Amino acid sequence: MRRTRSLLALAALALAANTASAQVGTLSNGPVTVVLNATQSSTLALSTSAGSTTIASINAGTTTDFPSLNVTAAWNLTSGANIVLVGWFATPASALTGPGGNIASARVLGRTGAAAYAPFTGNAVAGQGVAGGTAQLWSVAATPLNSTATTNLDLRLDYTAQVPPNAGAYTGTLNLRAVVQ
Amino acid sequence: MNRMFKQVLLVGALAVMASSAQAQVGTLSNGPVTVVLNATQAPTLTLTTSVASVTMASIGANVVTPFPTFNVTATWNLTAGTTIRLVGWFNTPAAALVSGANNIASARVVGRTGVAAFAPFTGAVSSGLGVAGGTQQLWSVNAAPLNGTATTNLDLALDYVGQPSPNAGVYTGTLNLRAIVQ
Repeated sequence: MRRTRSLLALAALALAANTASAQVGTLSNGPVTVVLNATQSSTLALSTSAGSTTIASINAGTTTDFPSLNVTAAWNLTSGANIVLVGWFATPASALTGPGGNIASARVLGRTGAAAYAPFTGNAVAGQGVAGGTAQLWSVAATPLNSTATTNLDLRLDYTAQVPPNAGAYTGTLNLRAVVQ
Repeated sequence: MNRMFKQVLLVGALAVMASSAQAQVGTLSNGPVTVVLNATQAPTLTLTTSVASVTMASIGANVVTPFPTFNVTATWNLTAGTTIRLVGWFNTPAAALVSGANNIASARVVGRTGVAAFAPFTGAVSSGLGVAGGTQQLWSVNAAPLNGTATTNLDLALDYVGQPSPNAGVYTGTLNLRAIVQ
């Protein structure tokens, strides 16, 4: 009986030693993989150096310039050829309004860079703007696709050969938006 | 089977690429970003005359001798006001016109606009304009509409009715004209 117990003990030890030896170098199933997904959404941000600009006194019979301001577009895209800046007045007949009447968008001119001034009298561009009150102000290459660009935006009132507006203070809002084309 | 599977994968990849490219065109910026434009048309009131000088060839004795008629035009662009007034005056009433040591007083110079009666330039300061004893309000016109213009004749004359004639000579004087909103 005692011998039998000794044999059982030896057998158990041998089995344990064999098991421990089998763990070293054992691999799991797999490799198990984890796919990582992350998206950097395309962005296109527009900002201006000033939220408002003021003419102290409109010149009769000629043009009067607003102080120039800067417009900056910053984009991070996956594709696209150009960034187009569109400006418009919501109501062309009354781009600026005052107690004595309105100033039509046809009397408001704009430009970027050193381009010729043009009135805000165009149709919507790339789905932006309103008919008769819109101007495409700027077009810049979208490459590199993660970049930024700044341009001057010059605005003026043109009363050349026109009856000046009724005396008073006029206020209006120019809408600006960039679009990828 | 393997070939068909590859074709399916290729078509799928192309579809994804096309979808990505299409999504970029037309991407809009934030906004719209707005810029507020402020502009002021300052009130204006401008006065002009059709001539800078008028001449009478000879002063009549004991009569009213007219200068050639000329026009005065007022142009205004206002935010408020009811009346545009034209005031005329001579700086030195005792010597409205001068010829050497001889003078013609402003009391001898009469004026009118329209068909009003002639009146001498002997009034007090009017609306803050002029000098005492040498002034006359010549014209009053409605300021409405507030962006308007109006023209009137201005008749001037020398009135020596019942008065001794001035000493012989060439007399020169300056009539000041100014318009004011009231």
